[in-house]
Amino acid sequence: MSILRLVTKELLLRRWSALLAVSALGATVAAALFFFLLARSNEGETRILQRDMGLNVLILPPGTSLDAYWSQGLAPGSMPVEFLLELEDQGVANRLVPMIKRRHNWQGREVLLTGISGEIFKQGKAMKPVFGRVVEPGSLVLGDEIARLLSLEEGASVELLGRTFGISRVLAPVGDEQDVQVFLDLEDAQSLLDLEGRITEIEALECHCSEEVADPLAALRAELDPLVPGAVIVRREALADARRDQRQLAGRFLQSGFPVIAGLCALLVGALCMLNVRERRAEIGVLRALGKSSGQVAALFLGRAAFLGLFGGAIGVLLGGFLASDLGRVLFETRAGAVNLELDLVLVALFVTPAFAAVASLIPVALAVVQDPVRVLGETS
Amino acid sequence: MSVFQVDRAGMHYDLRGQKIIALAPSSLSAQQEEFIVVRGKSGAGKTTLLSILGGMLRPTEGRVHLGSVELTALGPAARAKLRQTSIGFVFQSMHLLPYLDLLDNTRLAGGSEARARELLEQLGLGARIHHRPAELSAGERQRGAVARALVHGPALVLADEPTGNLDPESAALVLEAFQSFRTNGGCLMMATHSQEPIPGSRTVYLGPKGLHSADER
Repeated sequence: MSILRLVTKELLLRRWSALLAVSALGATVAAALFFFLLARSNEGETRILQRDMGLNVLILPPGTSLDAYWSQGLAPGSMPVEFLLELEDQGVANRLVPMIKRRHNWQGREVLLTGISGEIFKQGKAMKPVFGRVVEPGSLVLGDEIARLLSLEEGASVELLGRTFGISRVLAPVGDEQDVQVFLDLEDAQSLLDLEGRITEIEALECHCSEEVADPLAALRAELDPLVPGAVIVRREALADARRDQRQLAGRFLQSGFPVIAGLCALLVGALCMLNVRERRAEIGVLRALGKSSGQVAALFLGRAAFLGLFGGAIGVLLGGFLASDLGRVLFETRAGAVNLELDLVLVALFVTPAFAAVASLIPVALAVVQDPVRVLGETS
Repeated sequence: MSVFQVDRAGMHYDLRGQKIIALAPSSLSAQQEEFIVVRGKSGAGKTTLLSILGGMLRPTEGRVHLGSVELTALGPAARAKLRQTSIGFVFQSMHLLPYLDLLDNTRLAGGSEARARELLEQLGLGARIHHRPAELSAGERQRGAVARALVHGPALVLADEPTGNLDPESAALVLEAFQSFRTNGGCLMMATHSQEPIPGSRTVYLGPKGLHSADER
């Protein structure tokens, strides 16, 4: 009689017991997967939230005096736009945003003219722009306060430094300098301010997030100085440190929490499988007494465990994936649907669960088949 | 050549420092078409003797031969293989697999389906072949266990109290099947509490000093 037939017959007779075992296996796999998916999404979500707190590195033209910069809110000098090309492919400051900033009296009000272009990423890297401060040529984006003071609205046309612009957008109030900023396209600003080929600052996002660096500012300077000699590098310490610490916390949560959860689940799966085999030790004794080889007996029990593990794993993948995805939509509002169950994760769960169930069953089976059948039967009768 | 030969085989073990004798050194041999009945008190070692003869337990002393093969010199795998081809065993507790019907339980030991059906018919179980053990009476289960012990045509059948829990009619069917096996060249050894004489059998007694024949009682 084939092993498959024996396994099938046993499962059919003890279908409720098998169903319970599959449910328990499914629940443990679901719990592990649920935790992993949510912790991983949480890490990603944290990264995005922290990134959206703003750019935390300033690169200013060589010779800029920081007391002048902080008192005026801009760098008096300028640097060639080619600096951007030099900085494009380094690893410590990402998402470079080139700008021109100049104070200007506009319709009797002091405004901060800010020429800006979109983010510049590492060469060849496709990334989604997140700061969204791109301004179309020929248009202006106004801060809330300056729009209110000058009674300007979206869609209106307005003159600035002898040139007519359309107001494409009025920003919501944010409670900082942005409320009195007038944003325009970088090339428009260069043309209006006679700064062709020049920029006055570059904002960027520090990228020491997942590693511990003793002196991040020194590390930034060491990396960037050879590329843009003499440029003044400023690190917005509180912002950068908060971002790094939060990201590291989220990473640690995943790295340390998941092994614990996975270990506990593995322990439960192992205990379930071992319990099943121990309850059926008499069968092992009978089969051995009837002359079945150790391999045949092991195949019977390991086959059953693997079979249940496969079904349990599949249920766990569906359940864990569904729960994580469902809860993820509530938890991670800025990344709706960000909980993704990739194929490789599914395959790992479907392979590891039956394999682990079989290995966990192997121990009591191996202990039983090496004993004399009479001893096994004697212990169980 | 004898079907089996037991040469001063004994079994003892230590239990919390105390030496327990499960089977006093015993010697015995049997030929084809021989039916040996082992009688003795509970705890005398009848089950241990049958288990040693069946290669399911290795004695702590002495030797056992099955045909020309020294059973006591074989490892667990070789003994299992020998059981599959040459030995049939009827357990005191029957030990039928609960998820198989009677036919499949019988065929678990090997042999053809036709032979399994024939034996089950002979043992009065023709109408019960597709019933699982839980759907059978104790007597029917025991007869099913007898069919399983005989189905693969072993040279030796070992039966541990096979009629102990049976009604007289079922016991007669079991003994009839054993006699049929014996007269067809098989050798049979049965342990029992019963003092009922069994026609054509040789009785040996097992006591604290090992096996001895009826004449030596």
